[in-house]
Amino acid sequence: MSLASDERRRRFARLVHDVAKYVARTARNLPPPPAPVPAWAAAMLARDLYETAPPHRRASFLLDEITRGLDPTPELDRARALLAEADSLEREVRAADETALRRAASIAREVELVLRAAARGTP
Amino acid sequence: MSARLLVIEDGSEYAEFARVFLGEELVVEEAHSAAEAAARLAAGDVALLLIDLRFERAPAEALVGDLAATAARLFDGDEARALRYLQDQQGTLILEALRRAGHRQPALFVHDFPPRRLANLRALYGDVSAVPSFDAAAIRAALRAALARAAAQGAPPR
Repeated sequence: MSLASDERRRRFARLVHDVAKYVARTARNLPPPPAPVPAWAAAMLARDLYETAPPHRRASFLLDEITRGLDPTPELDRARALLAEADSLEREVRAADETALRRAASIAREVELVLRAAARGTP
Repeated sequence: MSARLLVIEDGSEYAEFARVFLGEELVVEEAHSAAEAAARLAAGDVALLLIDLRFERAPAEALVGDLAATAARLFDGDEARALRYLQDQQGTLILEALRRAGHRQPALFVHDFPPRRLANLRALYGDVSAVPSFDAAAIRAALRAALARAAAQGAPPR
């Protein structure tokens, strides 16, 4: 059974607030390459992706939790794939590997864009 | 500028962001409820407010808004839906409470309000701005503009 429209709107609002906005909190403010990602920014980026606020769970988990029961959309599928890739990079991101940090930041920024687009398309 | 910014949120993500990305220009302080914010503002010297919208982690008793009355007024007595509403709108409810107490500092939300909603917030609560995402440059610019407006109006923070 499809969710009522007001519940769908609330879920997408939560996606934007709880996932999209927080996941890109650091990523969209990193110094551009070739400057290295500062150590403090690497730690913040890891928190944004793997201890996303609220409530300090990984962004991929929050996405799955909030979208449970929603019909699939291309944007949600894309966000899910991106965050799965981010999860696969966790060890390197937490080790402050520059290539992984840059890819993770790119993922985070795209997730924000994709989820905002999904919310805008919610009837 | 080295004005004081009061961050009002139910966690610490906004304050961390503000200290990292705005700390060279602003002194950042935190409050985690309307009561804490009102107490801090009563002490004076705060120039700007940065307010989270959703307060999902705050205990229900710390939220602004009467749960039973909200349920009766908006949700046919359904207190679970009323609680979600109070959580989802808590930032604006806190701002309303602070305005009623006479605190007029410019307020900034990091939220993508529809234009009509933002216009309505401004009509109700005065100087309210919004930036859709954690874009440090955009937030810095919005806070600078808010400080300039306050200075032009000669409104000392209270």
